[in-house]
Amino acid sequence: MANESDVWQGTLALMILRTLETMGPLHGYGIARRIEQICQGQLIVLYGTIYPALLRLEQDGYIVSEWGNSENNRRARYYKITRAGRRQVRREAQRWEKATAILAHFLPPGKEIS
Amino acid sequence: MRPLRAWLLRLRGVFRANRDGRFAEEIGAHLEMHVRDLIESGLSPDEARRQAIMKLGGVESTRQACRDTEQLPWVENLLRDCRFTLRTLAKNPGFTVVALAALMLGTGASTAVFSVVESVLLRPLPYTDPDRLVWIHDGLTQGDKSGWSACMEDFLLWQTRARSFARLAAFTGDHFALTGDGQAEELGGADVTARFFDTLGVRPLVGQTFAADADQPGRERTALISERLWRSRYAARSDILGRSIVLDGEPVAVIGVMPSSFRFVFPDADVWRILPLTPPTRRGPFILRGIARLRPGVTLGEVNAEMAGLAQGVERADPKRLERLRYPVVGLTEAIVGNVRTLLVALEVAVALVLLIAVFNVGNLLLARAAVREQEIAIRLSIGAGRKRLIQQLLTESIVLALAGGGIGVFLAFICTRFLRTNPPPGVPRLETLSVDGHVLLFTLLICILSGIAFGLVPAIGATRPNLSMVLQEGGRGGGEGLRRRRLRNIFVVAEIAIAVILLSGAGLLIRSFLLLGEVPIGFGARPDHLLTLQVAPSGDIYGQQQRLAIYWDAVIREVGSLPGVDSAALSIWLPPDHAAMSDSFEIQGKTPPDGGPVVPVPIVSDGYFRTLQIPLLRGRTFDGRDTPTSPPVTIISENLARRYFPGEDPVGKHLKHGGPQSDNPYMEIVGVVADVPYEGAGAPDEPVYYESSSQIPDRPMWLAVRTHGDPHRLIPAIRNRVAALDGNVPISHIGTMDESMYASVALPRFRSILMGAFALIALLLAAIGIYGVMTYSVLQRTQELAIRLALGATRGNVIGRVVGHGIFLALCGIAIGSVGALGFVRTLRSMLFHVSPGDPAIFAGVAFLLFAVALTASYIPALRAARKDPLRALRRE
Repeated sequence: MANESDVWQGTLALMILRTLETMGPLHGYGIARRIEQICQGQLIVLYGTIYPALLRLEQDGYIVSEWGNSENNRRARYYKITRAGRRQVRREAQRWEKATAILAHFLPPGKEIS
Repeated sequence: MRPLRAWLLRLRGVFRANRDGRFAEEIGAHLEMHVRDLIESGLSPDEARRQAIMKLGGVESTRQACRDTEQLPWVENLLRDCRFTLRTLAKNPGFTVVALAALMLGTGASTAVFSVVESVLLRPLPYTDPDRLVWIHDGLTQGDKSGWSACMEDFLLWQTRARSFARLAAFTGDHFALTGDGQAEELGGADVTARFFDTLGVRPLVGQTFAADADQPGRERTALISERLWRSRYAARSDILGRSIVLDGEPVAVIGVMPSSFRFVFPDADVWRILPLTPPTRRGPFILRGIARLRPGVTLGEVNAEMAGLAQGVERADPKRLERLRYPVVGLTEAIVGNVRTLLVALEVAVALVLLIAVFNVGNLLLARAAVREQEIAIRLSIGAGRKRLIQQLLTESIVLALAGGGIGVFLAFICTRFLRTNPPPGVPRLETLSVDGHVLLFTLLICILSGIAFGLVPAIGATRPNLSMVLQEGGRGGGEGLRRRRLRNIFVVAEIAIAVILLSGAGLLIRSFLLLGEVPIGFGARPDHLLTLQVAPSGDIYGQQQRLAIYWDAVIREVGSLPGVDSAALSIWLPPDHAAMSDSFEIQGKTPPDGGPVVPVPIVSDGYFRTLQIPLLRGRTFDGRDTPTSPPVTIISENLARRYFPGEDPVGKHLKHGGPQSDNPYMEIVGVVADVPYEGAGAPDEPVYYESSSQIPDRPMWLAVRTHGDPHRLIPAIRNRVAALDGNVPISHIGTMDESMYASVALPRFRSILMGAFALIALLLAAIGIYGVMTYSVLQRTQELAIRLALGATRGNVIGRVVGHGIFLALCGIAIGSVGALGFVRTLRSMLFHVSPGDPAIFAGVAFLLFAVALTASYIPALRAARKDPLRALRRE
């Protein structure tokens, strides 16, 4: 895999959806922080990439957004997962599980891969 | 659905006004929250802000990423390019007008011709499952004539023996005199068997079609009428159903009305009358044509094999040993449009060439412009514009140009098709539904985009690959046009000239054929514009009696002939140029082959016919009072027949039998020989003709020919009155002068000459513009060089010679290549040529000379202008 950001791009949408599913409505900054927290520094998230991804999810109808007030009474845009979004999470999660299960056959634990 | 929804949302984003507001605020909030968090973790406000922006990945690039996601970037670019294009085009009106005109002519002609091709050849026939419909010929192939009709015996045989047909019907074209309920009217139409409408799978507007057994002998005669007749004569009343109308003096019950959208073979049909399947007493007359619907799964090959077997059976069973009997079956579409296919294919090729020449022309203009814009493009490239993006923009320009030209072209095509729909050239079927429909528009859109890419791509690729430093250094002096580009422009001009040669050769041949058609001797001495012709159609049982009919005809001639202003009046069943009636074979003992002479026109004429038309009598006498129903039968033959069958001897006094060896007709004595008259239209091969006397064999309907002193139109009311006074129930139709008939009879050749001529003219014009443009431009490029030459002592003549020489060189290349192409193209026109060979040297030489002259003029003008320039001023300006 030459370009690590490709993996990142493909999975970002699922991470966002999953975050919104567990955390409830959140603004973009909150989502970004939460993802970074969960990844425990293993992934470097450029916060700017969150916003186009959110926009695309909204166009696909997986999330909806509205203006609201943040904890400090600052106007911010809040995102909420939709029913279609939850279904998409199930679907994607299954796909990932299946993919990792298949790959597990090729990558037995404890063996060196060169 | 989901991707579509997203796509639409993004498309909406393109057109939404305040786009950036939302992201500006959202990103602002994001940064604010991040900065506060960082400050809380102990950073200075400045450092916090710096880190927050870094972590975001830049404010502007984030915004741009959002914008790209929100919209469709390519749509946005496209719109911007289009706006830019419109501005550039508006700024160069000269270029724009010439390019648009070329494209308009190219796409307009293509669209118009394609709409004809589409409605005539491509659109399925308007019947149920038209692919399974076939046309059955009777193939008693005699001479070279094809499309023979069948006889009742054939049809009954097909009906009982052929297994391949799900439905089978026969029909024959007919004319009916409608009398009894108002003014007598002559109506066109057909006699059809019961399954005619079922076979085609069409439904009536009102009432019903024939029952399956309606054509059995002894049934009540029924008919369907057209919507036109129903509305005009019966005010669209529903009580028409079951009503009895009088056709040819015989009551017929109307059982239905066919919608005006229904058309089959006879475009002006008003009546479809049932044709009773009366068992025939002999083989003949051969007036029926068969149509059928194939059973599912039966192929044309299979049905032809079956019909060939049936034909062989008939041949074997015939005591008189019929020969060469075939029943060829062809697809209905092929039968109806087969003979115009060649013309339409030739026209399609011609418009494709016109379009191509337009594309070359605009390509040339764009190349010239690309040279002018070289600097603009070089600057854009050097400040970092992507090459792909630039090509995209230049292509957008050319496609917008093509679409604009195409738009006007479609408008032009609309006008043309409307004209053709209301004035269809005879011989081209199915034009009544001609329209520029969705398919045609799609086709036009496609050719616009393709031609836009075609003429835009080469200049675009060339323009975006300049040697940057060289162009910029030149500082806009436009000194050396790229060698590659110059070569391309020359190639374009050569191609234009070549195409013009091809089209002009085709048009030249067709026009020459048409002119030669006009020179064909008409065969009679009377002035065509002083000959009035009209058809008189007495019907009913009374006129079924030969004696009554003969008395009626004598009265007509007497009444009309005695009108003041009338020199002479006569009757004939067949009139030149092409009012055809009976054709038949003949036999001259010891002269014709065993199965008879060729099938030729047999006009039955009244005594005064040759005098009225002033057809010269060469030998013997014309018909006169001696010839009566009881006197020995006589005939008059044409010079052609005399020459072919009586070479070197006097035919007068010899004998000829109507109908060939099998017929039971008596031998007729030849009493005279008259000059040849073409009866099957100008351009038809010369044929023998033999005349019979209407006093001996009265026939109906007949054409009345009236020779007048003055304008024959003034006599029409008087002639109508005289004929009506004899019997008001006899319809009169097809009134016109011989002049008008002759004009109409060459309508198709005229139509194709005009069309091809117009295309050729467009091509010539575009080619001239092309040469002129290239020469003007190259003179402009060489201003400096020419000025130096002049300053150093070259004469004006030298300068002019150099420039004109270049133009002539291009012209000669184009003429040479075009002549080779023309030899191929004119081959497709072969069947439309008359007395001209496809390789006619005069035409080719004329075309070459014409183009040479055009090229000479188009390069001389700019050359002269260059030579007149004051060399000092030209040099100083640099």
